[in-house]
Amino acid sequence: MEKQATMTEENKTQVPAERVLTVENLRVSFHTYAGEVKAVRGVDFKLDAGETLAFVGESGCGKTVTAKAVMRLLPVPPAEILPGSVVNYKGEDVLSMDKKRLRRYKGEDIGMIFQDAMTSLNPTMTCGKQIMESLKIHTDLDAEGRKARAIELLDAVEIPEPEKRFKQYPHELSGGMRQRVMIAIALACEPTIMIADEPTTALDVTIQAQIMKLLKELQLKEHTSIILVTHDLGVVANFADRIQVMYAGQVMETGSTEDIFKNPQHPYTWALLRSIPRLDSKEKEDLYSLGGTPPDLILPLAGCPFTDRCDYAMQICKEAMPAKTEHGDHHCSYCWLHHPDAPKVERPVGD
Amino acid sequence: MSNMQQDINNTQVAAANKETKVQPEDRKVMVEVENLSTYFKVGRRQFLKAVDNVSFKIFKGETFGLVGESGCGKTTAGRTILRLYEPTGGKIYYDGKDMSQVSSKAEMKAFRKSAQMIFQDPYASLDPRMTVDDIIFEGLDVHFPHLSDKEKHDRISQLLMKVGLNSEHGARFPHELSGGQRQRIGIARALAVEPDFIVCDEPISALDVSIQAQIVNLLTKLQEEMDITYLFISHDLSMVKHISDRIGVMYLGSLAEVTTNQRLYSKPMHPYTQALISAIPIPDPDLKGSLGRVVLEGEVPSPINTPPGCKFAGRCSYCFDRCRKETPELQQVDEDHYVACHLYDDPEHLPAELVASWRE
Repeated sequence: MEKQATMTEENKTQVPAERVLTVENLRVSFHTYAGEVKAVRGVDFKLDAGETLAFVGESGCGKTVTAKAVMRLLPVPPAEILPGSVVNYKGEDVLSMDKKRLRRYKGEDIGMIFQDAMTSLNPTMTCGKQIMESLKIHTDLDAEGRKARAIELLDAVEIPEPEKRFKQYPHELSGGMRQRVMIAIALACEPTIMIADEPTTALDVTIQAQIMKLLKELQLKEHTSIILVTHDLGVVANFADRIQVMYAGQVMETGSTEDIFKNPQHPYTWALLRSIPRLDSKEKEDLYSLGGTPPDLILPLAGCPFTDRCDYAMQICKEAMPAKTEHGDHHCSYCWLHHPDAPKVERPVGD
Repeated sequence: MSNMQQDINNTQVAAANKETKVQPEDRKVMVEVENLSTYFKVGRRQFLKAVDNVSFKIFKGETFGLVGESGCGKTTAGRTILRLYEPTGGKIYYDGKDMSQVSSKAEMKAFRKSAQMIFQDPYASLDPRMTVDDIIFEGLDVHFPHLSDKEKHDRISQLLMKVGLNSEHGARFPHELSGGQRQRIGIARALAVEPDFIVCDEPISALDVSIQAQIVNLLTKLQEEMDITYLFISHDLSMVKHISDRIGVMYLGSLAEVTTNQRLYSKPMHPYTQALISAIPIPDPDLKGSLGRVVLEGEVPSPINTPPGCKFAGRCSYCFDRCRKETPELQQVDEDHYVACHLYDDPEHLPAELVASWRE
């Protein structure tokens, strides 16, 4: 453990912000009986070491699919990562990795914390065994070493009485404990990137606060990069460094947490920010509600996918996808409102 | 006015929890729950006290929010009020009438027409083999037998319009609808029998943020139009605060605090309420850490064979000897503010940190 600690220290000082992941024009389709569902339609993002990037959006907007595509976890078929997509992990092309390399990639380079700990853990295996499973594949520790490491991991995720929990089955644990076991499994091989897919959605607020605190501490200790997939803007505001707002498989806006909350540029971001009730609001006012539902991804979309629900939609929005507009360092959005000829609108949220 | 009330309140503070008839205003009580308990037998002489000695009032036309972590008994309380579970003890007054003892079929039927429920999971609470029309028709068929089929179908179309759907949705099956649409069907089904009181059991927790706002606004609109009283059960404190007039905070089967929505946020008195509020991540990066978040240690203990004393004692940072021996009663500490905590018996012992967090 001590050796690892010093190693990460060195990493911190030597390379302050190493680019660990580059994704360009990622497109994922699912082939179903009804037709081709274009779930992810051209997503770009970059991830630096030690940083937290959050994917935010409604269900079905492609945030989980993007995360899984990066980890090569999608079942092929029905899923297909379309040609032209680029996923680059530290200079290595992830999409052309062979089976052997992939096996190491999943686990050692990227770990994943799944949404629902009850369904993602194997109910017929003890927690300890599930942690040791990945240690067996990825490390050359012997049985005793694996057990010691598993208990160490349970301790690292702040599970009381790790020796006892080691022998227990998932159903014997509470929701928060199960989520901690999931985190221990993801941590087992000290991945460079951790993908947390709605890690706290199924949990109570008090437990959510505990889990997020734990993730933050582990991140600082190991200098891990985290991709946080969530729809909870409250969690994002407290936890993420950068935010990627997604809608219908496309990026609507990307920026630092500060940019997105204080200086949001896309009407969809505005709508998201306005539809959450503020605990510190004084008066009882109507919540802003976004009418309608997201578009059907089987149907072809010519223009901006948000057009039908957007208060500011213009004729051009239906016809063509807007170009990227830069609003400063790493802050960009895709909206026709930023075209020089577009009417000026007043932003309803932000400073 | 408030001074006078203050005086009245002060004199009645001591008697407040026994004399639940203390009424600062002339609000009509819709539902009154008195020492309600619901126990489940889980083994030989072992009981799970899901709801344990809970008392509160819901006034006519208001929304009463019930919040707490999972397993705190909020759903059981809601269901017991509707007699979907039989109460183990205590009284449920509905519109002044004691419903806890009613067993005659006619009276129960009238109660069922007047008090309805919207369930948590719109995926599980609609019969997958019935069309939307059939689902709503059932209630109409039972409670409005004098209507012709055509009249009933007209009503169904009206109801669907009212909840923001089209009459063409009536021919669909639940699997053909999105989550938000399904929850609207759940609402239409509850509204079909023209109820006065609806228990909304986590009606939005399975939905997306933007859809949540739609449903909450719909519920508020319907309340204004039809003068319905809601019991709104949820674990999402910010949403509960938004929709409710008064809020009850539950912990492990007991009420920790009952007050108005503004006071709950500006002056949370029970240490649990305080922890709960501070655990909610506020969607504002500036406030990161500035609120001095109290992260509660540990988890909710098992509700089976709870030890004597305050149920929150094990996780409370202000806990002292008395908390482990004596169960605190819910008592009035201010106008419309009830709290079950020993700290408030002796104002001198109030921890300064707790007082400092009030935002009055």
